Amino acid sequence: MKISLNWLKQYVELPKELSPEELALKLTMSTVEVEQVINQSEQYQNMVVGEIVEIINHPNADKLKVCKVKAGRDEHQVICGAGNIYKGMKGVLALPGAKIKWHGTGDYVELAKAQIRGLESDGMLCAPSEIGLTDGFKEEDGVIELKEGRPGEPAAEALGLNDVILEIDNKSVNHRPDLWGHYGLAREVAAILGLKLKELEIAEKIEAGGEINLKIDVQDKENCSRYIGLALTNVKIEPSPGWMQNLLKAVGVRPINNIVDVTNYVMLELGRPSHAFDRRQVIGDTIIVRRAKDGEVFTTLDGVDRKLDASMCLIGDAKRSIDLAGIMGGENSEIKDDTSEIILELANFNPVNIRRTANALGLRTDAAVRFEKSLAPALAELGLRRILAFIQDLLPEVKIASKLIDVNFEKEAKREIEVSYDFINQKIGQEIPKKDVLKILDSLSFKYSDKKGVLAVEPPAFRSAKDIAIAEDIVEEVARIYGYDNFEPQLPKVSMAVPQDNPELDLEEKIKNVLTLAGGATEVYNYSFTGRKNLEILGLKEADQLQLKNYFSEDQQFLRSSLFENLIVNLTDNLRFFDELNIFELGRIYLDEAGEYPAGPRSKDFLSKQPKILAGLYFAKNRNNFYQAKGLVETLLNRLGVGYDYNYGAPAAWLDKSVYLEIKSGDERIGWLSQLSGKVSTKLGLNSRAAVWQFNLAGLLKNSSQFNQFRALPKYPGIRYDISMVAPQETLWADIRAAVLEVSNLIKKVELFDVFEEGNFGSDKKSLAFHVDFLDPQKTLVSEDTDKLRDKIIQTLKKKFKAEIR
Amino acid sequence: MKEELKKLKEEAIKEIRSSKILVEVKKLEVKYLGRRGRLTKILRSLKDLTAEQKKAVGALANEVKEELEAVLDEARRKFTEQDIPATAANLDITLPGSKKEVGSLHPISIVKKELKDIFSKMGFMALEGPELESEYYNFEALNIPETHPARDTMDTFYLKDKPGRLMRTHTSNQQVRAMEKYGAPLRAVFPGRCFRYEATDAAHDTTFYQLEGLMIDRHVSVTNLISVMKALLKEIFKKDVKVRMRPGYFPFVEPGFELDINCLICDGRGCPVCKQTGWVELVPCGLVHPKVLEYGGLNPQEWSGFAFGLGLTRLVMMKYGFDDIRLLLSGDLRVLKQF
Repeated sequence: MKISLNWLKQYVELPKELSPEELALKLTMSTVEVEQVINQSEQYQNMVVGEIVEIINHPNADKLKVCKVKAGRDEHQVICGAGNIYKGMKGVLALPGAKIKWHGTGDYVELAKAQIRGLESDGMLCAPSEIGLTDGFKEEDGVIELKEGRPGEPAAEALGLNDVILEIDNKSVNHRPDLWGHYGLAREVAAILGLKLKELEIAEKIEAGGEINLKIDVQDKENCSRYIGLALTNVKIEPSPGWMQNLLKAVGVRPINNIVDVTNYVMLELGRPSHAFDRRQVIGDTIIVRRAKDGEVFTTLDGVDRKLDASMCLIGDAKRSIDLAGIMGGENSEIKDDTSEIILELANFNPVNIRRTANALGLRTDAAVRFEKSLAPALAELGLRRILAFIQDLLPEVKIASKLIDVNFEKEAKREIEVSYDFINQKIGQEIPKKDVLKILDSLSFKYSDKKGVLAVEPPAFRSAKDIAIAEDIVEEVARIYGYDNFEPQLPKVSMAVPQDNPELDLEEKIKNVLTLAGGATEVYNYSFTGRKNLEILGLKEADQLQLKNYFSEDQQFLRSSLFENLIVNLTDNLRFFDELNIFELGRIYLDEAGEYPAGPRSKDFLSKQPKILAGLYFAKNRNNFYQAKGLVETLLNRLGVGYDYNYGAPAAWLDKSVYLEIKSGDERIGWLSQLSGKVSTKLGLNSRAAVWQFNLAGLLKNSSQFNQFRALPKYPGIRYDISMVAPQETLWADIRAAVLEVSNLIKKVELFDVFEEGNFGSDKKSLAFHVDFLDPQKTLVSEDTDKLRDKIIQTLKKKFKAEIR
Repeated sequence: MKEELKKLKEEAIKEIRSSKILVEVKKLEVKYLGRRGRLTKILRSLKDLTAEQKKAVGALANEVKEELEAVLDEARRKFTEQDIPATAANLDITLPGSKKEVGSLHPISIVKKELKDIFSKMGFMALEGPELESEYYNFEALNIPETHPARDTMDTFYLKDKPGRLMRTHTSNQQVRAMEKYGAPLRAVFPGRCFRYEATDAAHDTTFYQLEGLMIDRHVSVTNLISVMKALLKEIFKKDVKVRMRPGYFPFVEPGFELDINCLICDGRGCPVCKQTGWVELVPCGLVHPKVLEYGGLNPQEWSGFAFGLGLTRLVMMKYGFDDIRLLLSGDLRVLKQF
């Protein structure tokens, strides 16, 4: 929102030494965020009003003239080619140093003295586009002709461009309807600076006329809580005065005519929108507030056909629709140049309905934006009286031709908020002198009475009930005007209790450390969303996935039900730059079944299940990646102190059925280890299989244990044998290991150290080498004991696995 | 014979002392004292001498042997204790060391842990909660009723066929959940993933991280909030940071503030990052709205508190100088392996 400093100055006399930047800072610190301070005249430096006192033909060019241009006491020689110049004409004279656009295009450049066809030109008479003026001048006319201004006067003054614009961050005033107008901001400025706010001139008395029988019928009471109407005759449509036009233009509103400009002016002053109808077009002098018909097409005054629905509020006359309530007038009833009788509308519309309608139609007009904020009911009348004061001032001959019709369903409850000085001091944390509290309340137009240290505060009507409702709201008013910078920071006095740990987060950190530092894996974060393409690659059904109702990108239409929906994309994306990939992710997946979080307090309704999953993917080109992933997983489980077992199991369809291990801890299935299926690998264009693994975090958390006791070292030395065997290819190491361990309980460890599959023992066989560690906790083992056991092991291996011992 | 021994000794000592590398010393040891070494040969030839000669020469030969051993020792020590020019050693120590593959934590994980630790020092526990949330906890319990414009401006992702379900727009959804679970007094931070339905560009993404903080106790005041924020920011940025508080509006706090910090890029002098203002908007905060306390089952007469929101993603970008937020969730290892 743009706020004009000249406009503000009408209501409050600002100290001369206060710069616009300082004012902006004060507003930012106490009221609203000023995003930018724009000084209009900056662009017009080194430009003055120049009067052409002599014109002669250029001796060396047919189309150029040599002008003598008077600017104050100085005279300048200017070469000019415009067709519209004449002796005595005033224009904008740019002098060396001015910033102009050559031929009205490109960037601004600095003007310098120049030789034009052999004659010196001291400056230039400017066309509108050359100095960035788009409003009020026609380019085809030639150079700008000024009707006002003395020669030598800065051009910005003569053009009415001497304003400073404060750009306000709209979201910082969403809760303050009173600040959507200059008067409201002026009140804040006055309060902050301790200045006096001037009162507004309003039409005190409204003498009812009898010529027009205005009828107002509010049928849609839900969306219109008050409707004030008044008919005026003897209206003459003409341009509004220059000062008003300048102020409107300064804040980006195009002047139209006196009536429309006054309604716009009052909206930008009080934040109170209104509308004026051409009475000729209000059939039957009847105004009906009702809902639109479903599918009804209505042409707004911008000439656009709008398709409405039955939730939208509309103003009609006796026969047809004439105004899109609170948002934009209708083309059929707008003020025209020959309008002489008008009906003024000041209504209160339902903010929620206005917001929804405006959003649905993509038509968030200045009026709609203000209605959305919940306007105080009393403002309607104030707005009317203010508008009337302007109209009567501009057009003294205007007559009030109807009664003031006021259909009012508003209940203006008296708001009274009790707040004690103690409460204020306690909330702020330091004592604010009583006189300061009262001064601040006065300056913001709050009324109060002091009842033994408790203030009964009555907020002004223009502060919405949503904004000021509770004692805390009063605290904020006092605190912000007092100045947050004036508070002494003070650390809270609280209990020294050590905060509770979060075992889940602690475990996550541990997991990530093991995986990155010991496992060499890199952590990735993916979106919680995924797209159809990814689901198709894994062969997942759309119907099983939770979906977003609204989404920007097809890649983010579904909620992920597996981290791999996006991890596979990480794989293919990164293979452009890396030959080897070792990544993991820890995040939530979202499943279409009831989870653990209730949707409300004590609710039996539960949110969708959204467990945290830890998943990883290992891939190196042309390699068997499974053992890498398995080593990583085992290192992780060991470091977390999770006891585990493997099981064969039935994997998801996108995994390789023959290479799949379920990971169990106790009886609980906590994860799995596998590789992508051939089908998925082909779809991804992979030349070898990516190993993949996954855990549910809850399972890891439940089964992890702190390392809390060391094992005493053995008292007696043990004996180690190395056994090397050749066995049929299909022999499983797990079976061999189990068989060896079964031979004797003196065998404490069976550890594989070599597997070799391509020896000269035939392709259907493999060679395995392993350590066998014997230990007796009771005595020193001698080789006679263990040699026998070794022979037994060898017999067992030969018998069970048809092994050949080497 | 004696002459021969003396000559040998002088030659050997000279040679040993002038050796340049350890290998040379070893070679000389073999040359003189090895099985076929020059001194060994002399010692062996002693057996052919008379007893008297044996005694005289033998003593001398042993003396020489001991002396040479001492000199060899000395030479060896010279090399083991002094730096050897790399080129002279057997090792090319300029070859790269054997590679240890270390992975990387995601930058958000790194900063999240840093923040969690800082808050822990100040007595805040870390809590997490659902990302797919109900309208109740994301809006209603935060004093944002259905008709509140903030629901529109929050740009929410809603779930299809799941009325009243959405992707949380802030980690503030944890405020009332935490109050319900832990009651008061309470000091907690809620780090986590949030979602906004908005078009993405270098500064905006549909997914980002926040860290919300909540403190509830008896008589918590604005001046408490200011001082805790100052202390936290000092810890986060590892230096004193100039802050300013100005009014800000959020339905779940009253009064509400925007806390700005002095721009760290230009030190407050004004630069493009701070839009020439010298200040950067960093922490929305305020005293917890009494209605929110009530939603959390706490009596606002008895308890009060403050809440604040730190843009975790924003801090990560500031800390590491990211110029495009989308890189964080790109899974691009060229980026992630830098951490």
